[in-house]
Amino acid sequence: MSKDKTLGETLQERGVSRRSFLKFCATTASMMALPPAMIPVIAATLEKLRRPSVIWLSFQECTGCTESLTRSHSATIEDLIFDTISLDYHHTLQAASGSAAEHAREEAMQENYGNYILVVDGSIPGENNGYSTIAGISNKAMLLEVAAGAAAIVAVGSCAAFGGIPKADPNPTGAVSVSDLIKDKPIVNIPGCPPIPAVITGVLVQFLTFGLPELDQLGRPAAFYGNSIHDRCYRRPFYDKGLFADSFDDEGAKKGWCLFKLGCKGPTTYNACATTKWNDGTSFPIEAGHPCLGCSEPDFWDAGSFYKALSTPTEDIGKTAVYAGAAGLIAGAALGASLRARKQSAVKNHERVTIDDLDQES
Amino acid sequence: MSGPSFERGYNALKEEIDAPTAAFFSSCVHCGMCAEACLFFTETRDPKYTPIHKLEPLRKVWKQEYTFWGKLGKALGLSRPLTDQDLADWESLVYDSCTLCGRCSMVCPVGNDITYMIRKLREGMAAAGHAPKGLIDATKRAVTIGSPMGVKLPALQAQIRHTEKEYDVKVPMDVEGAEYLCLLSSMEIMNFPEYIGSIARIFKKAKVSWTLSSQAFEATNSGIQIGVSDIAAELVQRIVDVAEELKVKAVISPECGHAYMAIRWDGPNLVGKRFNFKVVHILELLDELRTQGRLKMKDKEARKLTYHDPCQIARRGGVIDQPRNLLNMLADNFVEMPETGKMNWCCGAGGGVSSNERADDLRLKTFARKKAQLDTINVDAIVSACSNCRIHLEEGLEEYHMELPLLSLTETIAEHLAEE
Amino acid sequence: MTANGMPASTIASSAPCAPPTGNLVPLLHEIRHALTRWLEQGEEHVIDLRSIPLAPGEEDSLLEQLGEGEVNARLSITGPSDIIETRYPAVWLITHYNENESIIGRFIEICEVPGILKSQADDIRAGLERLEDQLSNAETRA
Repeated sequence: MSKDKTLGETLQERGVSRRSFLKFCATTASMMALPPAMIPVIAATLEKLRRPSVIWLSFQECTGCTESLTRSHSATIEDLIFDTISLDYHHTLQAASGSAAEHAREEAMQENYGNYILVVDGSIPGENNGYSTIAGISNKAMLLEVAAGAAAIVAVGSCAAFGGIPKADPNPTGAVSVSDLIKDKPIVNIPGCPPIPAVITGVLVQFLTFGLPELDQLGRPAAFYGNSIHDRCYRRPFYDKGLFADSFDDEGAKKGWCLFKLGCKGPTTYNACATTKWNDGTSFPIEAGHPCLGCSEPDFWDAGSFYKALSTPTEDIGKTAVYAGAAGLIAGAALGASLRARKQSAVKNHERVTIDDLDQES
Repeated sequence: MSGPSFERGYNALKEEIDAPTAAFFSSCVHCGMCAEACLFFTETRDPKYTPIHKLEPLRKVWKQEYTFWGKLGKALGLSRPLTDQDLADWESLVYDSCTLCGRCSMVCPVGNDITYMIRKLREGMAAAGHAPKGLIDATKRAVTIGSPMGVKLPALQAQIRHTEKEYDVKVPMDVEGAEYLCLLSSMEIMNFPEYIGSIARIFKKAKVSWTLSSQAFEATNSGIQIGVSDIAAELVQRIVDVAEELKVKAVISPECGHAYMAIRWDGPNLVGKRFNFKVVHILELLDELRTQGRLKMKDKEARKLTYHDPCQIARRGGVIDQPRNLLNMLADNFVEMPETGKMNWCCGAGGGVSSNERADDLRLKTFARKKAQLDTINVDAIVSACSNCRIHLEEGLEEYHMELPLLSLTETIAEHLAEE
Repeated sequence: MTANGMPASTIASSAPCAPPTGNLVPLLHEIRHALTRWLEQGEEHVIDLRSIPLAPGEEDSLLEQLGEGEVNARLSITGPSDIIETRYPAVWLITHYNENESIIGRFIEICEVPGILKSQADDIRAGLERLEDQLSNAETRA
């Protein structure tokens, strides 16, 4: 597909019908967790889109994120998405190798300087550059060089987003995340180990159609990471009733009760697993009877045992205070005026307690 | 005055229930995780020691006074109202089997601060006359004599004279314009007077401008332990008055857990205004001196050491890194216990439990948890930073026939100070 | 490799013990409100079933309750799509499949005819061109 034609023109040339395109837009909207009312907007934008160049860099990673992406559940949709972009450099997927591969990257950078999208998976060794190099170039040097000409950066997977497993204690390579090194470019984090494939493609499409998506405080797109697994979990009603599985084969486990006590990190994990699900939308860990590991949260690997019940977030007292504070606000409003009066009268009835008031016999 | 009564206790509970308390009670999902976090439960396996259960009287008042169904139930006679007997029945749960260590608050999945509520429940218990004898007596001594252990100024002066002679240092008293006002705990004056000599030597070497006060030398606060904010505020006020009078920049909390919590965190809330001086724990100050290069060691501690985190300093107080920085400076072989820092296990004697003879057997029983922790690391000595923890740990080690020296971090640093 | 090859019974094995989310009845009410709005104001409505937490088995139960009505159309477009009018006129169930026939999207639309079922102007134009080409080719040959 030529780079100066719009996606609409290319599709038409290839004999893809308008109905197919509408279907693509509808399923994409669903994937992006956008309201169905947005479907026509997506259609109109995508149609006019000229395909952007994408450079994909892989650093300290296990290729799981790429594996996840290429298993994106809909071959058709994935094709279309890859038709909308020009994936100019990707170690694992590109045919070229050796100096030809690096040449492709340099060429793509030159041609689209300032406009290409940089996708990164894997973390970057911080202390000794020798821990990971590509074609003799250290990961850090390559990231800084390619990032300089990028319009925006997408950090795919927990390693690129937060450091991930390479950063796990004792972090032998001094691994850091993309956002630790790059401060002057918009960065979208798509954490997960690996991320849900539909979320990777969904964010790319969202990026292409609407530009930089709304991000949360950890740089994750709110459309996919706006709710906790727990809030969207079909087992949530059991949590609310206090019905928990205490082991993997007790009555509670068989009845499908909440896995909180078995270490489920759902309450503190923000991701789309509970609704988008995995493997063609077949299931997700909790549905298969296993607690959520919290793989899309920072430092999930060091957050204690996967099977130890969550005791407030990993290492963060602050969050407890926030929860308590928020709960306090809600209940505070619920106390209501009459109750406040009740409390006021108790305050008024307070007699100062002195040491003479402590003994029963006095 | 009128003396304790159920009505006063009930009124105090009504008064103590605030928005967080209401939110906490309505959010509890009865998961029971707080039980496994409480050493009184883990060492006895008795479900009555489940932390949230210890709050039952407070929960009842909340339900019957502040919720629609509770009020209805009470009006229709469906639910039994709280009685004085209920409070009497709960006394030992609220005072003997809770050290206010705060571990349960850390594990609660819905973020309920159970410790915060136990503290509130004690307000009602104390006003209703259901506080333990030992704590009542300690509180009386704190108010009338100025120290829960009944330590009077001449006793402190005698220790100071002794210290000055032994270490050839000057212990400044009532010096206006000193940078730091140093507080002590009675236990340090009576049981560990070396502490005074240690800070005197360290401050001399590090050139810290400091003073003690003859009017307010006691840092501990029985009012908080027994749960009477009126008394707690009075005790804090004594320190505030002296600090203002001497125009110090900061007040140093001694190696005592709850003293730090009382003056640093509860203090301004109790007296109802911001302090115009800072409050630092002695370990915070020592670590600051370390980073400024003002603490010079002549040699390192050769023994294999571990550190027991006092709950009020670490978990409730946030002073976690400082002792570790100091220990790594001091010793080559410092190891952590299995659960440490903000999740450390309480020694078993905090929150007024040590002043309460009735709880003696129970607190020694709970020491099994600390023993289990220590058994995994095989150290030569334990370091801590709270004289109350220290006394109880020594008792526990004796009870379990373990021979391990207990060191104060401040004192150990003083012993290794470089001679100029 | 996807789960496509697996027998359906394996995939749905978690269904018998799945607790209900309680979202089923509210969903039916949403449909009821949408129908009322269509009758009163002619407003169309779309529900994305992917965006609502449903326990295993609940979606099947929803489809069962909606049933099948008079229209059942299959589109052959980069993987088939089924467009079914349910037992309730103007309540359409649209299921998109990929080329491996696994579901990639499922919507309930409240309207007279779902947009995707209608012939599209672009396609009509392309079709007209093809017809004209064919006719002119035939003329040339003749």
